[in-house]
Order: sequence, then structure tokens, then C-alpha cells
Amino acid sequence: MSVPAIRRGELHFLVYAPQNGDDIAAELGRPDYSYWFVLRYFVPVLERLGRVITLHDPETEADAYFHDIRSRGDDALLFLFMPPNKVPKNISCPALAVFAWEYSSIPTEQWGGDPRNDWSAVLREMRGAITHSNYALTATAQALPPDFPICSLPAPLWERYRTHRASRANVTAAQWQLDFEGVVLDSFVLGLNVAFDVASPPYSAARCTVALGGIVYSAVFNPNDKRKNWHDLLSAFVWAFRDEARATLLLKLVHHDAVFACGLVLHEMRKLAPYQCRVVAVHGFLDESVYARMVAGTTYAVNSSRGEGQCLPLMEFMSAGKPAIAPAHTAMAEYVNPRNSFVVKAWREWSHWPHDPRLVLRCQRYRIDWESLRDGYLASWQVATQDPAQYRRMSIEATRALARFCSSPSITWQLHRYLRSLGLKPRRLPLRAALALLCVELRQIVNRVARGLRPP
Amino acid sequence: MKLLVFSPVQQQAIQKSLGNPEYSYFFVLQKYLPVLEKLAEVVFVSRPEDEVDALFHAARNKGQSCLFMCFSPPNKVPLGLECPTLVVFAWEFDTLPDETWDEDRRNDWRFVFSRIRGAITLSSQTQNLVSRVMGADYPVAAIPVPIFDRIGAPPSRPRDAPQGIRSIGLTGRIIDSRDYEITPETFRSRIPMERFCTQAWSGERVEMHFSHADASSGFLGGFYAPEPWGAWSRIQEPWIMLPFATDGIVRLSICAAGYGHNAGRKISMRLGNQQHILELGSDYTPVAFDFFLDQPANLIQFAGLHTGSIPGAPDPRTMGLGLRWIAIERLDGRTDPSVFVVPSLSVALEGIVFTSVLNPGDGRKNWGDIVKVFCQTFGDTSDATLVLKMSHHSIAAFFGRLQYLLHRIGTVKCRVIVLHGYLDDSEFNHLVNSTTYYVNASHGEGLCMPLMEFMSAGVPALAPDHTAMADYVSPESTFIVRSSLQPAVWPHDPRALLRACYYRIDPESLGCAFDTAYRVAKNSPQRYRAMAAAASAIQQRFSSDTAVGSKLTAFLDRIKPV
Repeated sequence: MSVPAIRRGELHFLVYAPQNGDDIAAELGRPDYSYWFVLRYFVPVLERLGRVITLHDPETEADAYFHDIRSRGDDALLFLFMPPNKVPKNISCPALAVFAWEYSSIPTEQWGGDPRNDWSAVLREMRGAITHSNYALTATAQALPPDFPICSLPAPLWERYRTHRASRANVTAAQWQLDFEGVVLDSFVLGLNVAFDVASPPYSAARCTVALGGIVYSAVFNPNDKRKNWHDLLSAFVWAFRDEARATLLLKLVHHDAVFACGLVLHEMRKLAPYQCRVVAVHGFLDESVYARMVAGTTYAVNSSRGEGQCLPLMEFMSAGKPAIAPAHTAMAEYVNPRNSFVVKAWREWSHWPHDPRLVLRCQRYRIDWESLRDGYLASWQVATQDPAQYRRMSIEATRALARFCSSPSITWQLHRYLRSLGLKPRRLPLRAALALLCVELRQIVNRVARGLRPP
Repeated sequence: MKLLVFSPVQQQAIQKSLGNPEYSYFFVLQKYLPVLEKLAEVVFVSRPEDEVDALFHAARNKGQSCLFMCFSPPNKVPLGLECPTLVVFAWEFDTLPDETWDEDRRNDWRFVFSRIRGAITLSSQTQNLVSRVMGADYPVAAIPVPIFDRIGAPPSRPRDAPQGIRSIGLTGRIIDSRDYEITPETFRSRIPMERFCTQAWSGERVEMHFSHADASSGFLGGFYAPEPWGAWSRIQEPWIMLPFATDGIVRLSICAAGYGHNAGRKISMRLGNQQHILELGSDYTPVAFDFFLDQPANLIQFAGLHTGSIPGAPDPRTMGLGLRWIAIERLDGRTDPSVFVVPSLSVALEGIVFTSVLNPGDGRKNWGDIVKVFCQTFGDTSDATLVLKMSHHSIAAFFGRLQYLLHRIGTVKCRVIVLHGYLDDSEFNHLVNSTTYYVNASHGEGLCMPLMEFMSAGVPALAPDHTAMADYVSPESTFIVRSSLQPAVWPHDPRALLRACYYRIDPESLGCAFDTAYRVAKNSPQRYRAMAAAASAIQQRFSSDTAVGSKLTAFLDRIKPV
């Protein structure tokens, strides 16, 4: 691939995601809704490197902006936050696909008469690609020529949630509240501590106040997304804490349809009843302060996925110093480790690309070891209630790991370097920031060598 | 002493019951018989409520002791008999049913145990469970089914891995992965589908419904997993295989609709030598077509569906044809049964052969993992063969799912053979002798008699060491497949509540076991022979008539029947 000469003018970033955030509550849980959140996290970083223009329709707007920008002697690059098969055709502005992926290979075949289902063919036509984990980077690079410019950059979200102080596990039933508009399923209120055949509550949105306390385990997911494997997350919690009323599992359901999402979850909540531990599922849009309250009140974040492209909620909770119970596979391998998490075991299994209707077996995903998930709950309870010093250490290690993974300065520098490799000229960054990044990278090399591993 | 014995499925019904719940109690009782007959006079009863107490009183009047052994799940044991009762049951979960439902107190097994003399379980795990809930004094023993002396080989003369071409015969059907032409979009059998007929037909109207609750959905090819209303087609040329051959003048009614690009589309529908055009509506109005068949046919083949995806649709599946039901009847007034002979077939095996004998209708057997992991491990190995002997009265219990799985797997060099039908003793022995390894990937086992049979004959295994298998599976004879707990529903609990755990299989470890086992059979004859010897030695200790007889005698002495 030829590298064009570096232009002298300002670099403009045209950015687009399929949802534009105008009505994100109605889009929650629909295909590709999370690309909007990723875009939102990237904009401040891009603003340090150039000018950002948000598009609403790349097919009509991108080239108009591009020609206008070029005619002024400036340069432009289009960031399309979407899976490669949805990238619009016939745009002459150089474009990057920014996509999440959690399988061991990317689609390299076409189906349904649509050549764009072959991601390797689509990406070859693009200026480059950004994905969010080394796992996805490897899967993608395997399908492309060795000189194809691709890099792995997680969403730079650490600063938004970071903490300077270690969290303390809330052993006593210190009460805190979630106030929001939506629907709540609370096992205590429903009577699931007594019987399994309880009536369904009305699923109509109302003003809700949920008082919480004790040890709170939290997870945020779309219950219609099979990759999240949330049945395991719920059943292992109940198995671990059946008789422990001080343990709470707080589930934030991400889906546009309350009746559908709550119906799915209540069905599973019933199958496990009766239990004395508390399961609270909330559905509704939590504004930033309420979500921050949920993160702050949480003792541990939980994840039992078969694969993650990056997992924004887990990154957010861990940035805020919340240790996790999670598997260390796919993207999570880069920030979940035994110092900050109770690592859940998982096994590779043969699977299909998730959007391939032929369901042919072409890649690997992970099968969760349920017993180790249950044991993770039990061990985490022990630490939270008996070993506050260890909990604090894990909390600090969580926020540190996420700082290494997804802090803005680090992502900014990596993106800067990537853009330069494409022959573009982003704004210069202060020397201090470059030195800081160099230190981080040197430390990584030293750490790896000290453990007898090859440098990255 | 007199032993009255009962199992819910009787001799005359066993062929039709194969694969239904509780069918295996028939085999447990059959295999127990030789040992029981050495200890006492055995009398079969078929209606225990009516017969047991009469026989008990007659025996007592003659001064004979008498005991009723009920081979069934505890909730099916008749209570309130005067005759002392023992239940013999298999169980593979980490809890016993201890709740009442459907207003039947027997569903709480503790209630049953407390009203009978004692229990015989087939595994130590279940024995320990009974002791835990009933107290350490409760009379319960773990006594396996005596297998070894039926089939066993002396461990002193261990077998080598079988070599060369071995021919396996059976009366029934053989499905061979190498008979299919597979691409990601198409799936075709090279051999005529008539070979898979399982019944005769006299021309009467037969309806086949295709919801997920209907067994008939197993006759579909190229469809997605059935849903509560019916099934969506997946490929351009899906089909329905009838369980019988049709001929003469035949009317086919079909209730179907088109989805997306296929609404209003005209597709072709072929049966035998004749083809009709089916226009797909959108409202599931049934339509009927008459076929004039010049020779027997049992395959309804559709063609011409559009499988392009709909841009922006949230469901990415290539749904073309939604199928609710079909009905078929003969119009020419003939009522003679169609020609139907269960063929005697054979297949030649070579190389390394992995065999499993299982009931495909029992989800605990996890045979999907066996097929997937086998094909993944041996995709490039042409001398590896997997043989699945399916114990179920209906081919529909696995046929659709098997073909779906083979389609998803695609073209591989290794070979999958599925046997469905009856093997007589010599054919079964031949299968055992042709097998290099037995393979088990179950979520749980109450005993697993086929695994014990193969091991007795000196066939090493790949198996997890959980539930009942923990009593006889060890690394000396078996490549252990790792597993760990997962929640489960008691299989007969209609409330479908999660109340127990069984095991989740680690597929990586299963793949590793396949790979290592293959290498050992190929390259390490001594290690193979040692494993073969260990397999029959452990079975001799565990399940010989002597071992089982002495356990049984000790237990009967302990409970002292009157």
C-alpha cells in the first residue's frame, strides 16, 4: 500500500456511528447500539489530534466534506464506528472501520449474495482499521496482508471513572439509593425468598427508588444477547449465596423493550427460587449521575461472557476501582488478572460467526466453567467480609490495570502513532506525554522479560 | 427366599419404548437377573399393586421370606404394600427430589424412602446422597449392574488396538457422513432417502406437525431449530423426509408461508417423479397437491427459495419457508401397506474407531459435543471414525439434528457413522471388537452400562470421571475428560426449576483426549494394551457376578426380609 505524502494542513476527523445518540434509550440493545458509546469516548481524544465533525449520513455527507477540506489544503479521515459489513460503499474519503470483535477469526467468506459479509474483502478496500483488543487484532490481521494498517485501541474511558482512593467493601448494610424512571424486579419485593410461583409485576415505567446495601455484585448487559451468558451469572450467584441475605446481585438490563427484557430475566429468577440473597434487575435509562451512583455503590463487577470485544461496563467499574469476577479471555485478557479479579475459568469451543445465518462452524468462542464462577463469588465474599486489606489491594490493582489499558494519554499517543503510520499529520502532542508513554511501554517490556516472556 | 421383581417397561413393549423415560430400568433388571437367580427364587410381576401382597402372603404361609424389588424411580414405587419393598434406581444429580408437586407426595423421594425397607442405587454418589438425607442408618447400598461376566475378557490377555477393515452389520439404518455433499449453502444425500424409512403405510391420512414439541421436526432437513409454532427453512433447497414410502395417487397438504423475499414467491416442491409449484402466501392457508407416483418415494424436496438477507433486519437468519404441518393420504382407495423391509446393512470400518452407544433423546448424553469435537480434532485425519449407536425407537429423535450438525461442520476428512436399529448379540460383540475406544461426554450418568460393557471387553475409554463413572473410571484405563458443575432441572420435574447440579464438559479437554487416544492407538501399542488390561480388570473387580453377588448378599442380610 503506497503512503501518500504528508499534507501540511489541519487534519479533520469525520466520525459516524449508526445510532446518533438523539434517542439512545429507544436504541438500547438494538444491533450495534454500543458503537455510539464507543464513538462518544473517542471524540475527546480525536479533538486533541485534529478537528472532529460528526456525520449523520456518511453516504451523502462524507465526500462533500472531504472535497471541501482537501480544497482548503487540509486533510480528512473518516472514522466509521460499525461492523465492516455495514460500512457504506462508494465513498472516496479515506476511511477506517472501527469495530468490536470477540471471536478467533473474522468472516472471510461471503453469504446471502452480499460480498460485504466477507470482512477481509471490505477491509482491504479501506485505509485501515481500529479494533479494541489484541485478540481481535490478531484475528483480523490473520485474514489480511501483513502490511495492512490495523491497531487495537480500547475506548479511552479511564479518566471518566478513575479513582485515587481504593474502594472499601461495604460490609455493613449501609444504605444507598438508585432513583430512576423505569422498571424494577426485586426478589425481596416479589417474594422470591419464599416461593417460585410469584406473579409478574406490571412492566410499565414508573418513578423507582431502590435502596441497596451490603455486598453488591453488579452486571450490565443486554439479556437478548446470548454471548453474555447471563443465566450462568445469575444461577451461580444464587448457588453461592442462597441463604445469605446480605448479598445482592444488581442487574442493569440494556434493552429497548421493558416487557421483553424483564420477562426473560424474571423467568430465570423464578426457576432458582426460593433464595434469601437478593436479586435486583433494573430496566430504564440511568442518567450519568445515577449510573455513577450504581458504580460507586457496587462491591464487585461480574461478567460471564463467552467473548468480549472490550466490555465497556466492566472497564467502567474496574476503572472506578471495583474488582471483578470475570474470565480472562478475549479483550478481558488485557485487563482482568488475579491481582484485580477472581478469574473465572473458560474453555475454547467451536462456534459460528454470530451474524452468519448459515451457522457454519468457523471460529472459537468460550464456554464458561460455571463451578469456577460460583467459586469466584464465594472467594470474593470471603475477601469483602474478612480481608479488607486484600480488597483494597484488588481495588487499586483494578484501577491501575485499566489506566494501563484505556487511559486517554496512552490511547491518544497510540492513535497519534497510528495516524502517522498512515501518512497523516495529526496535531503535535506535548513532549511530556510522549515520555510518559515511553515509560509505560518500557515498563511493560521489563515486566515481560522479567517473567521470561518475549517483549511485545 | 422369594424375590418379586418389577420394572415399568415390560419385555413386549421394549422395542417401541426404546429411548423413552425409564426404558433403561428394563435392561437394569434383565442384567441383574443372573445374580438374583443365584440368591433366590425370582418372580416377575407386572401389576405390583394387585400381585405383590398376594404372593407375599402365599410365601409367608409356606414359611418363605419374601422381598419386592422395584426397578423404577422412587416416585413410581407403589406404597402401602405389606411386602417389604426395595427400590433399585439410577440417579445422576447432586440432590434428590425433596419437594412435592402435582399433589403427589411420592415426588418427595424422602417420603418414599421412609415408607419402604431400603434402596439400592447404582452409584456411590447417589448412595451418599440417600445417606445424607435419610441418615447414616438408612439401609442403602451402591450395587452396580453385573456386566463383566456377560461380555468380559480376561484382563490377563489384553487386546490390541483392532487393525484392518472390520465390517459392522445391523438390521436398520446406517447414516454415513461420507454420503453427503456439503457446501455452506447446500446439503445433499448421495444415497436414496427411502433407505431411512422406518414404517409401513397403508394410505391413511397422516399429519406431521413441526413445532418444537413435535417429534416430527426430526424429519426436517435444512431448517432452523423448530419453534413453538413450527420451523423456518435455512437453505435454498430444504426437504421433509417421510418416515414411510408413498406410492400411487397421493395427496399432500401443506401449511406454510414465505418470509421476506419469499412472500408471494413460487417455489418447486418435488415428491418422487413429480413436481408442483407452491406459491408461498403469508397467512398459512393450507393448500393441497395431488401426486401420481410411478415408484415409491419418501422425500419432499423444495427448491427455489431465496436466502439473501434482508438489509437492516434484526434477525440475520435466512428464513425462507415457514412450515407448520403437512398431511399425506392416498387417493386411489388402495389400503395395502407399502412395501417396507428393514434392511440388513453393513459398513466397513478401518483405522481408529471411537464408539458411543446412547439414547439421542436424552439431553444428558451431550452427543452434539462428541460429534463437534471429534470433527474439529480430526478434520484432516482420514483414518479416524466416530460410530454412534442410537438407542431410540424413532429415527426422528436424532436424524434432523445430526444432519444439521454435519452441515454446520462442513466437509471433513474424518468419518461419522450413525447406526439406528437392532444389533443381535454377535453383531454387538463385533461392534465392540471393532472399536478402538469408547467415548462418553455426558453431563451425568446413573451408571452407563454401554461404557461398562465395552470396558469389560477390554476397550479403553475417553470419559469424564464424574457421577457414577467416578466408581470405575480412572486414568489407568481412560483418558479423563475434564468437567465441572452446572445447574440442572430434575428430569421429571414439570415445574422445570433449577434444583440440582450435574456436569458441564470441557470441550478442549475432550479434544485433547481424542488427539492423545488416537496417537496412543497408532504409536504406543504397549500403552494401549496396558489401558485395555486395566479396563477389563477394573470391570472385573467392579461388576463381575461375584462382586455384585457378594454386595447384594451383604445388603439383603442387613435388611433381613421376613
